[in-house]
Amino acid sequence: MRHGVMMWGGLMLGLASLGCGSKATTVDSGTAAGSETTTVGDSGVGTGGASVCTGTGVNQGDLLGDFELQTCDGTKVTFGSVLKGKKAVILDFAAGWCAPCREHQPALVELYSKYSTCGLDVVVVLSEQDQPNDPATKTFCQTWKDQYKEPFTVLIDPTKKVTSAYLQGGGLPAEVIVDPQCKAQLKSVGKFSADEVITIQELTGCQ
Amino acid sequence: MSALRAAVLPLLLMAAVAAAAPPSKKRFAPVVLDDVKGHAFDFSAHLGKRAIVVAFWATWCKPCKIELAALSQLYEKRKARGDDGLLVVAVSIDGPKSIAEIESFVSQHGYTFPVVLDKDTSLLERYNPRGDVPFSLVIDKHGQVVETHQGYNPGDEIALEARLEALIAEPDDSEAASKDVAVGWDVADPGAHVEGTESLQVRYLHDNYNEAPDTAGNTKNPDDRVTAILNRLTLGGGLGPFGVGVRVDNTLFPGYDRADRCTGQGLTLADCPWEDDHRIERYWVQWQTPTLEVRLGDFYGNFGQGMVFSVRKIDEIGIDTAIRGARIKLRRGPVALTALGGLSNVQNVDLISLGTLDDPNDLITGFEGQVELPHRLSVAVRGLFVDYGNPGGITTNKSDLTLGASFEAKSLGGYGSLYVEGAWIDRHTRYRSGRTTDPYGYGLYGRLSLIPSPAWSIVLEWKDYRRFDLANRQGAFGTLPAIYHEAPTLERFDQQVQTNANATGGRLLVQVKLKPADVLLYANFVGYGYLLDDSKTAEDDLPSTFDDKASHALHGYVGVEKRWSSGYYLNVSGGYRYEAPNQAAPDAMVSYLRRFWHVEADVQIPLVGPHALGVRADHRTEQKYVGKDNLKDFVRGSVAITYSLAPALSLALLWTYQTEQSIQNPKTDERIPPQWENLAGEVVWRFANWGHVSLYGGRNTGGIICVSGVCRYFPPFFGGKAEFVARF
Repeated sequence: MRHGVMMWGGLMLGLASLGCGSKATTVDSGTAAGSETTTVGDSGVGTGGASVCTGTGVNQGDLLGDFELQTCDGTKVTFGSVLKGKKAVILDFAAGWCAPCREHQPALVELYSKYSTCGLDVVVVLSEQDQPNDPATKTFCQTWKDQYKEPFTVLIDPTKKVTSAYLQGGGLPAEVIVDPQCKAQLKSVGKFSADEVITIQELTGCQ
Repeated sequence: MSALRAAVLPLLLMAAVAAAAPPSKKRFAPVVLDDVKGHAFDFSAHLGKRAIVVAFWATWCKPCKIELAALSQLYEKRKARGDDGLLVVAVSIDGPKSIAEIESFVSQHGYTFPVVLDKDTSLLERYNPRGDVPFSLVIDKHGQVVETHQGYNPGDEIALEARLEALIAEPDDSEAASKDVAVGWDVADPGAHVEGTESLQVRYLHDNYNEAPDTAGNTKNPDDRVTAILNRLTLGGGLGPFGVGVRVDNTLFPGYDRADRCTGQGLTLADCPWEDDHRIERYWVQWQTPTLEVRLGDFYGNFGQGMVFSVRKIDEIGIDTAIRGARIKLRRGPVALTALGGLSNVQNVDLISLGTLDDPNDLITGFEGQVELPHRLSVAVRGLFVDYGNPGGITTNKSDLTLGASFEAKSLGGYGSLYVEGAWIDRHTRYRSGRTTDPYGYGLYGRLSLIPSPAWSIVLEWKDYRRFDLANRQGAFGTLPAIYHEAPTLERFDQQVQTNANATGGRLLVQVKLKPADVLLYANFVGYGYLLDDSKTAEDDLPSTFDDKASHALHGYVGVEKRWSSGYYLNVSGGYRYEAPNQAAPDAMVSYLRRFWHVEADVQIPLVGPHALGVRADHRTEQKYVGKDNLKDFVRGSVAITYSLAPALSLALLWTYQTEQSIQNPKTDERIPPQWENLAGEVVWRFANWGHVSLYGGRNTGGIICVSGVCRYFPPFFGGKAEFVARF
């Protein structure tokens, strides 16, 4: 429904953006947790009862809400179920057209192989394909997963319900590092950075 | 609805005040800026000339360059007659990314009038809060701004010349002029002045061509068929060295029922970006003399070439971040000192998306000290401390300390100049566990500008950046990161730059003027390696920007420029850009690397009298990297034809095309039409020397487009826009 001009707004102007900025069609009021605009918690279906994700926030320090999306093979998965038993989960929002999103996928795989034994999991949420207006499909999801040989969960968000709630109109890539209590310990716009690696080390207790 | 009406009322009142305001004169508040040769240029020393034209321009702005050529012709003609009644001052608003080109540009074109640098756009913002260029002021012998003009179309200089002739021919007795002043604000005390700019825009967005396929039969479409009213009123005043200013922004979406259009059918309010917004976006109080400037409130700023600190404003491409706090500038003899502190303040309603953003409110403090040494050498040291506060979570505090220094040789024996700047960032993060980390980054930049003869000029630039990035990326506010510095990219203005934080490379620009034909030839080459992945905690783990784990961009183009004294103008250029993937993981690069041939042409044809025709066209035959040995072909470009009846009227027809977005399912998957359907038109009427109205309507594919004598950013769009601007 949007992001038609992301590439133009963020990149073509040569603003040296590290992410795919969205100077684009959607920026909401940007209000913080608990406001009417951040409705991930109640937009999702089946919060699974036992999920610790009972909040409504989307920003750093907030308690997040649960959501349910499809994997590449169509299986419905809730975020809360992925989080269960983990020490840290990287929630990575990406799209096919977004260069830095693609570029940091190998870094996610590397991190996963290094820290998964310490309790790290990764969830990639794909909203669009190689064009800003192409909603992600199961086929695209599978191609992506195969291309980067990702052993972790890749979900599609073709209606961008979850993605837009988290991005609040901001750019891609965006990552949220979630702790076992479903609190956002770090939210970052732009490529994956050393800050995030350190946060993962802090949460998992592994160096 | 009554709330809406209540909000519209003051807005209309303001517009009415603006419309009723007399085309009065306002006093030009003199400032001191550096000129391109590194000397301080004090406007106050020149006030009193019979006529001064202050022309704001930028090296990336094509109409500006043509305007400067026309102004130069006017200026030189008078000078040749021994008449010094006219002064032209070209004020460059080039930022750190394009500043390198100014010196060779000026030398190549043989401009003898002062060219001064408004690097942080503070002078421009005062007289043209819209921030677009070209923009010019005419100042009379009393120091009053008697005319403002936005945009440049061929033939504008004819009316300007007539105006200047009249000013220059004015009798020395200033009685006549003072009477005119009396209708305005400068009644009793000539040192007191009030000035304002009112800009009222109405936009109707019919369709932005981004509807996704919808299998559920949903019919709601919240982001099409939207009307927006944007009002911006800037008021400033001064008495002697004392000045105040305020800018009020109102954004209204009349008839937009957010609750209805953005709920149900799977929509949430987050899908609707637009809300009415009213706020005092900028305010300031300042005391300014040539040696001391104290400013409280909002300010823009820039140290050196922007590597340590740069926040500025160019509306038309959506840049506007200020610092709200205090700044002191001292200039005494060869020493200049600046100290500043405050909280970052972004323009909260983004003019491109019209969405509302939050202020990051990062605490920023900085200093700069600069000393002029003999032999036209100068050194500077600077520092900036940014405290992002407590971002929440296990990060309890995050801050960046940046220290830098620069050295400049402003005259290499009269054959050019040398500039080197370095900066080092210490990123400090404290975690709840007590652990702290201090990964560092650095940036080195050098520029050698050689002018071996009046006919030749060479610009060499070099950059080497590692983790060189000063921005708030914590996502605590709802948009792009707030960026506090601008390291030179070496790239052309219209090129996308994937990242500049880890990049190493250089640029060479050679220009030669063929004397007999008075033709300028130019050739530009840029090449650099860069890393997008910054996830290594140890600096040693980051791959080199030279090896095959980095991506590479190479771009070369050549062009020719010629201006005839009769007003004909021609600028044609073309080149090839090659982007190579990270060879270690080529598949990671799929779908955004591009390779393309490009051509651009810019022609201005004077017709009879004040009538003129301008044609601008650009075309790219582009390939997108969609996999190893797999490239997808498409084209994009634009053609703009402008007819102008200088200086009052211009009519433009704009055609844009791009075939990158394939139409996969026309029934459900809405696209911008790729080719012939994208036509738009624009009419600009400069009804007086203090204002203009413009009407724009039609469909375009988006991008930076120069039409009606102004370059600006257009989102992909089908709809209409009406604008009224008054300066009083």
